[in-house]
Amino acid sequence: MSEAEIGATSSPATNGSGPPILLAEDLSKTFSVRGRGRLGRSRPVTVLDGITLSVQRGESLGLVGESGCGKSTLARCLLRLLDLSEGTVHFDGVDLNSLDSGELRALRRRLQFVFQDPFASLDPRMSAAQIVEEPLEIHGLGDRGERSKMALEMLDEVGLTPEHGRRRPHAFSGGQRQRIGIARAFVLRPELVILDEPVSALDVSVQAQVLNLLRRLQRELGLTYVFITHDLAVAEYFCDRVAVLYLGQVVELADRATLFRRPLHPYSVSLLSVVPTPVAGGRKRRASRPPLIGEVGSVVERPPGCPFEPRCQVGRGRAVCQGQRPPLEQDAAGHWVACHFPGEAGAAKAGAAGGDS
Amino acid sequence: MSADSLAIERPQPGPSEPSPRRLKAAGRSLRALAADRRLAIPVAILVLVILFALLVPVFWGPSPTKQNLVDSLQAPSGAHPMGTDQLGRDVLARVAEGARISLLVASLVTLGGALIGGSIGLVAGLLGGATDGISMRVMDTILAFPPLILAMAVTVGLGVGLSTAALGVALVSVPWYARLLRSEAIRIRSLPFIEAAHALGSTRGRIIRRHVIPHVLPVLFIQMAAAFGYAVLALAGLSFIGLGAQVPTPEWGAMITEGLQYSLTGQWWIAIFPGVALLIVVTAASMVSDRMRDLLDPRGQYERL
Repeated sequence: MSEAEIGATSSPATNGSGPPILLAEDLSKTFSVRGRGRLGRSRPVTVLDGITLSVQRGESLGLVGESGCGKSTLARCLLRLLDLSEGTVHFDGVDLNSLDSGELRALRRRLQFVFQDPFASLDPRMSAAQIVEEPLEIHGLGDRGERSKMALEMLDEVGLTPEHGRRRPHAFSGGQRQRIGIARAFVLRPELVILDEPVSALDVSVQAQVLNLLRRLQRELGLTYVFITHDLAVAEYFCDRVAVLYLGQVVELADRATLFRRPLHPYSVSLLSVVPTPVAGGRKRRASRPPLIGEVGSVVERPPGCPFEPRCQVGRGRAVCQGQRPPLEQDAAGHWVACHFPGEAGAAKAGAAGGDS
Repeated sequence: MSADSLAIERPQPGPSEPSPRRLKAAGRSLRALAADRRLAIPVAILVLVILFALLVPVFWGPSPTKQNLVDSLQAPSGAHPMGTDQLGRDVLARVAEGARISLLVASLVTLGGALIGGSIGLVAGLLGGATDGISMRVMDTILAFPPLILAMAVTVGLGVGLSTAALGVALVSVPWYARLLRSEAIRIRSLPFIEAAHALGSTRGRIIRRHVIPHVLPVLFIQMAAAFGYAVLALAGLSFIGLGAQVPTPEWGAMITEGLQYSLTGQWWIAIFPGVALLIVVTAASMVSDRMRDLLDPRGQYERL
């Protein structure tokens, strides 16, 4: 999708008014991969392909998709932890590509990241309090006493005591470690936090605690979240808007209620079919949605047409799907989908199951 | 300076502002080390050797170099507990002086090798690319020589003596440190908490100081303890074949060479006592390094220390 189109119809990610806090336009990321053997020729592999997204102040945007669809790469590109191959990312109107390393470091105070793995993302040789103090030290905030006080307050906010602060990460459970990771990201009072599968490594009971903590902090601090998850139930619970990624492309983007009630892209429909529903008869209610078949396609051998075509119940074998990549287009207000036959999979389901709540 | 500070808490290549927190942590690890008998015993032996080297010159009258031909080749007795050599010099005083020389020079060799080799390895591992390729090929070239032969070549090339022998031994040890720290740096560089520090806005220098160096130090210490024993032995070896310390320096290897001819005629004490001293120091150093490897093993290090 070209920028002109975006300009004409507003960005596919725009929701509501006001300038977005984070705007990614036509973002692509290509890695070069060496072929077989030592002398194999290296070739480019496109992991993210023309992603356009915007995040409004105060919202939670979910990025969902299966493993390998580029969620984590996208998160790192949005923060410029990885350099982009193409496209731009603007944070609060500032083009991240235009910043030198010093300016970028200074900006990181406003842009934080919570990592997926709470075991490996904390330095095992530092105490919890030191870990939370470190960002303050990096950005030269306060003197030693103030920093230590702020760190303890932040630990308190995530439910850890000063006594916990003296312990090292190995003395904590997974949920507690993730709280430390959250405290480290939030102690700088950032404006935007990217959460890369923040609860995926945790037990289900702990997941809810951490999600509620994140939600409370968002309310109290007026934060904006980009929330990456492969768990649709978590996305449904947590996010205001959800973007569905497949093979490095946004295939559908809508607000939560719309996406979960009326998914248009066959991939979204299939994904939703595998979400466990805690309602009696819920499984039956969704049973007619076609389950996913096959494995996630490979970014190395990207299909020429629609990336989802080889697995698609609707479009598999159709010439247009094989030959042409569908653009991301607006179906209804704020509901964007990249499909030649949007809604067909959903329609089949609606007919068979008599609609969905 | 205690033996602990010599064998374990060597001065570190890296900043170490002595904050109370750091001192407390150091105290804690020292206590943990003291509680471990398999480490405490060899460390205690090294402490005794150091005390021996320091105290004998103070409390024992005879000079290690003063000749007294009247008393030459005397068997061990009350006046000369380790006997006297062919020039009537007191062997006890000479062994003690030899201990001082050996420990001091071996420490300098270990420290120098660790600083240079460790820095090369860290830089190569962290920068990668051409820096890594070139420096590692240079290290491979050094490794291609048998270590003692290379040390001999350096010594002969620069002029025979204790300091050139020390240079040769240090040079031979550099690639081991470099390869070890390079692989550690590469391993640590890819750990998520490094990326986390990057995402927080840390500079490269800060990441290296705060997150990389503290993680490579334990591995470096193990290597240094092993290299220390090797340095003592190699220096004695070079002196033994006449390339290191020269007469009349009371160096253990040189003393063994001198004493060897007399052992055939029954004056065993001239060569045996420096030999035993050498054996004790090298054995204790390698026991320390073995035990440290167990204690600081990457899988157990955070739980134990």
